[in-house]
Amino acid sequence: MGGLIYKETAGLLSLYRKNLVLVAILYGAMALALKNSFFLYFGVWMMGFYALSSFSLDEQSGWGRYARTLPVSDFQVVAAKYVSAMVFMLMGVTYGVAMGVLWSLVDSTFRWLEFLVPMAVVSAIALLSMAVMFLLAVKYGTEKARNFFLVFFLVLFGGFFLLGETNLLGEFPVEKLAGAAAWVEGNMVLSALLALLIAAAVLVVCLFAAAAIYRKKEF
Amino acid sequence: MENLVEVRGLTKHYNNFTLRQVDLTVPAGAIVGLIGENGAGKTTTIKALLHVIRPDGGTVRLLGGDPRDAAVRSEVGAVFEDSYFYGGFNARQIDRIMAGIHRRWDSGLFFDYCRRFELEEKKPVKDFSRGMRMKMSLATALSYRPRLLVLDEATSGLDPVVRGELLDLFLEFIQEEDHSILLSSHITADLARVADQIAYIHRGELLFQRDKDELLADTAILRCSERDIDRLPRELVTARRKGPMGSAALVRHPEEVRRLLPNAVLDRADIDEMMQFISGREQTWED
Repeated sequence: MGGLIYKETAGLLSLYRKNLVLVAILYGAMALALKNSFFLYFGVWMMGFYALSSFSLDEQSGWGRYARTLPVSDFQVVAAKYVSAMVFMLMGVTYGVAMGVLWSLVDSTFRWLEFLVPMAVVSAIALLSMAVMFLLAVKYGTEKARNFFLVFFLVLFGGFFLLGETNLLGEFPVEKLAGAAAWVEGNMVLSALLALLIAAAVLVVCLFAAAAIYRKKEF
Repeated sequence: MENLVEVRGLTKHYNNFTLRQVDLTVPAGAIVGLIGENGAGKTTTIKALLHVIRPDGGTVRLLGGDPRDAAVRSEVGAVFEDSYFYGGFNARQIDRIMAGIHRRWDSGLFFDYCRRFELEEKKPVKDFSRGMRMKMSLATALSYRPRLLVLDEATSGLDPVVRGELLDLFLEFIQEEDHSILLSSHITADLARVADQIAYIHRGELLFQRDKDELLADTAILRCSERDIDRLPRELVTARRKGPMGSAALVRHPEEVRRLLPNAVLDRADIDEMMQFISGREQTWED
């Protein structure tokens, strides 16, 4: 299993090493210059997207066929992909926190709680996205998984925008949402932990579903 | 003699192709050459016996066990024409990956092979020539000391020098009595050089698996008139064709044929010619 995780991580790093350095410099600089932590959060989400490329590398090299001849199980092959994606995201989180340290040194108004809670929520969303995206990649291939996600977010945000612009909600009790938002605001740490917990649960379900699909695949 | 591969009644259906009831064995200490035209079912057979695809019927035993068992696969080295690690990896990375996958992985042996094959340790596989990539793939397969090597078109597209090196390596590997190789190839000259047995697959059916020397000694091309071919007992004629220069037939038991047709011309048949006769691509033929 260790070899598989190394294979996934090293493959992605050899593909994106230069790109990651450039993105890290750019996003770090923008976050500090604009005092906008969004760039650091977005980096975590993007790392999950980078990790999806491991499926493309496999498709190009015929890895699926070769892996079946090795003494590894289908579950291990899929699990290694999920683990390496988490390693990638953890790198994004580590970088974000390191930039947070730098930020706190140059800006006395910097608040760790306000920085870390959104980071945890974004990590949860990234984890969740990655879990579903990987499941789709196993089932339909990398390109379709990527396209599905882009369309999904387009519909999601486009839908919110349209609802806001057209007042289609009508009599919808918006105050209930406002109440939920107030609860989240009052329990920020708990909310973040809850988000991470939900993402972890979805990830486990997706991992087993992806492994079951992968087991039926032929190469 | 123990069989390292035993395939019985292997069947696999696709929309446009069916592998039908293939029986194939690879005895210990033998190299079995799997031949057949493009799309005949060689790769499908190999994929099915390695559990890369699921057979629709039949049984496959590798080293006496089930190929779905990881412990069984740990003693099988597979080399495919187009399936390996991501090309950005170099030998050092491949060594690290395999060390984390395979309990029997021998790093020292792997780098010995790299040196023997003149494979640079830091050079990405994608920068190697095709021959070098095949050598790297073979070095990987050999470095966990498998008992069985399964090679799908491993020598295709390589120059004669590299092919010669690989064939020597196969012969070296087979020196151990409990080692075997199943080698599919279009290059029948390679098989003529190293194989102990030839298995011929045609349109999804295994037509025969025979000892190579026996096959070559027992098969000939008969050149004569149609009428003479008709005079032969049917069991002696494997395939026949009619061309502008006359008729010819692929025949069994040449001595018997010579006795029956003393004036006919009988030439030795090589594996390519046998395939051409039986596949009937260029000429009409019949069993």
